[in-house]
Amino acid sequence: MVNDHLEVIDSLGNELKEGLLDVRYLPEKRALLVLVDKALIFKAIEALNKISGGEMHLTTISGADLGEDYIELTYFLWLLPQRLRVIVKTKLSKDDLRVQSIVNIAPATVLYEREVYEMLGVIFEGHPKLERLFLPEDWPQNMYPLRRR
Amino acid sequence: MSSIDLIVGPIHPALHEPERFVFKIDGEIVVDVEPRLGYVHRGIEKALSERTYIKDIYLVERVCGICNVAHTLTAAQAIEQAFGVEVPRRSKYLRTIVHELNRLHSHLLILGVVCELIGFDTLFMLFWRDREVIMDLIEMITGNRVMSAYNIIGGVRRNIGDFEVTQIKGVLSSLAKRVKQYKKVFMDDPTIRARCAGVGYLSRAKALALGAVGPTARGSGLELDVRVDEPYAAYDEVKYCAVIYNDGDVWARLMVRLDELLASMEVINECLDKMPSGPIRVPVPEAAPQSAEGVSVIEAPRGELIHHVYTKRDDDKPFRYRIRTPTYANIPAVCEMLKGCYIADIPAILASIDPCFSCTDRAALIDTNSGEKRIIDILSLARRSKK
Repeated sequence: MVNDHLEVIDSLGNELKEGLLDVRYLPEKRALLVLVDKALIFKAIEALNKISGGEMHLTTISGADLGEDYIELTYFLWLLPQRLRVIVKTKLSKDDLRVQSIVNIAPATVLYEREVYEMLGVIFEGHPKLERLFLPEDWPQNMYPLRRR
Repeated sequence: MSSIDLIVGPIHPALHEPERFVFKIDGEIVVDVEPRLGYVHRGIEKALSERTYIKDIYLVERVCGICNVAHTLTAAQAIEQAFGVEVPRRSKYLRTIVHELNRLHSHLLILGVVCELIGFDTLFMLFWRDREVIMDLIEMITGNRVMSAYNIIGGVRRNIGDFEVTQIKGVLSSLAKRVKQYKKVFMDDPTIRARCAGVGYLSRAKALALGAVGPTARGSGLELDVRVDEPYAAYDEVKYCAVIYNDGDVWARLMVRLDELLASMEVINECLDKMPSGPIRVPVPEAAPQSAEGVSVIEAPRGELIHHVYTKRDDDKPFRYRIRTPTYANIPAVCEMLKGCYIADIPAILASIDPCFSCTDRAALIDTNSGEKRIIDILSLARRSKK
């Protein structure tokens, strides 16, 4: 139980190779932090799903405009067999806000991806219905409430 | 096919998580469900990053009035983590006690509501009578019945003494007897079994895939309880076992809550016995001492609640604040439960995930062919279902 995160780190390294930018255990958050290239986000989540034997619970996706040139996406996952919190992070350049949807692996994400799309303008490719979730219908196009100028 | 759209929700002046569900119905059977959220999206996440951390505590508890303690606790923990502040042990115990009292009144509330919706008004009144004594305890400890603002960054606002300890223990011991009696009613009563058992089925696999949380997940046999998985506050020092039922129906979700009432009372009693003496809060700087991220996950009455905060060095406002509430996570799961159910079972199924119930206070029936629209409220829908 205690060293389960080491096994997860090894398996992730084997699956993602150089696409894995950083991985480390954060004791104060009791979580494994995984930084990946945005092209590999689908593969990373898929690998974690495989490591957990399909017993992966997606808590949420949180998007943040960090005010510079990129938007950060944070995927919070819980692996049931390992009893491990995993935080997967990826950075998207504001010039190209496209990222692959993970709905096929974790259907739970269907609403979270829509929320990040409408609030920050991130396009999730492969999402079955990428429409607005909370905003009113007459909200102007291309205006994203949580973007910083 | 002449399918009819049955629209449940969303408008009510006092909503916190309003939901509208458009049901495609074929006769009395629900074929498909489409949720529509956001009718009173208040932009709280944005508002939080425009206020100071101190004011934010009072704003987050307004995300949800019923589980306000859960929100202030999560916010305080997330901000403390980002600030690098360690709170005194006594405050962790006090936080746990008030958090569990909050869960008691929330669970009693929804159990009462479900009883009313399935036509068992006597039990509804009994549950709500018992909820009042918990509200009185919360008022005694925090100074307020509902919006308690008990947790602050760095600890808690008020201490408790011997008088309060005796009062809480007295109330809980008589409440425990009554909850055991209610549990027997839920196990044996033919009305409850007929209306709840086998209704709104959600398999374990679906619950996991759709990201269900809290009693909704545990009623489907999914072992997810943050108090056990990632203990926070004083949960690493008290005994707690997750309550799991494998039936996956409305009845199982209600039984999880009934058993959790008893488990919560044990946690409170254990905390009162073990509570160390000492300070209840530590001073915390107004501005963030470092640029960091804080993540806090807790088990709110309705399930896993997460707050994610980005701080910026020397800034007294959060850079970005993100909240994911449990009802939001349970929406895909409840849509799954509703598929294939009878119209008459809609109120009980919706209530079984414990949404903030005022959300579903009004309903409209629309015939798509004629465009004819009838508006009814959820109680008439429930009354129809009792016939």
